[in-house]
Amino acid sequence: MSSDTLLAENIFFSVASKDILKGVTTRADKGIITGLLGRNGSGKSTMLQAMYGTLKVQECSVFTNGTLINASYAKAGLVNYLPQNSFLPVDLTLNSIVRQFAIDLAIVFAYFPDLKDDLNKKIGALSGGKERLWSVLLLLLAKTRFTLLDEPFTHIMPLHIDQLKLLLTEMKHKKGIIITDHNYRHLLDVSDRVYLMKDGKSIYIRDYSDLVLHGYLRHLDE
Amino acid sequence: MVNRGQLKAIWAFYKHYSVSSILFTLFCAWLFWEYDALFQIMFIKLATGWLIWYFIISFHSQKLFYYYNLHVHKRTLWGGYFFIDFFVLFFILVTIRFLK
Repeated sequence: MSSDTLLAENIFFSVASKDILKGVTTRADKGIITGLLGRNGSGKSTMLQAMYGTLKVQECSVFTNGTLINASYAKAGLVNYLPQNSFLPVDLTLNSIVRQFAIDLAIVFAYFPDLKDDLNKKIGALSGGKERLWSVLLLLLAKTRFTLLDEPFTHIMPLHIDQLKLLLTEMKHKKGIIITDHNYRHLLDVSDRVYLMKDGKSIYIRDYSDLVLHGYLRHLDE
Repeated sequence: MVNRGQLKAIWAFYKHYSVSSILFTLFCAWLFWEYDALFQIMFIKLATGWLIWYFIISFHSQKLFYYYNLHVHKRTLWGGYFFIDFFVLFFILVTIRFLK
């Protein structure tokens, strides 16, 4: 497997004299799903948007395979990003969006056969869960080398989450993926390595007990 | 260089947010028809353009990720939007001048 890396180094971000990120570094590697956990406001989304290049931060250097890049989002075929809230235009049909992102619908329908009926619908006519699922699928199957997913499991029903986790596991062989989510069980299921965002830094998580040790969980359920 | 997909994205962006700017353009066209007030028209277009930009980045910033995910740079997106907007205005003003 060829190595392909997107690295965001020394990310500093503060707002209203509060330090959100204190020189944190993160990376996406082809073949690996990186999971990011953290409490609300710990800087997970900020870090992803800094890496994506749409958020101005005090300091951040982004490299792809060692080459420094600016505005990584604007480099065709490099990286895409799922924001926390809906980003698809409500007045467009799924068909037109699918064409725009040039994704392979055969893969979508192999994992989610019940989505076939949605194609001629406008985004505004989809349920919140379906809209979220389509958003994740569009970015995951788009021809980019890296995908950053901010809360991809939110609003999606359990049956679809199970299928989505299978698809994520397949797609990691084609691209580097970073996921953040508060549904930590799903995130831990698919992630090959996990970091916890705390006090503006990222902490490598070796096993579930570290999440208790660092105060993210009160106790381990099982 | 902007590719075909990005051009389509810019056009979709313009269409999505064009209603208010077209209304301002029509108001400007009326001003031009009645008063020939070119300087005021330019001022109104610049001011309302800034308002539209501020409204979108303040209240619709999440929706912009659709265009970013099609790899359209912020500068290209807004440059394209205002290029089309001013082109429409210019076309209408020239037509009015011709009709008058």
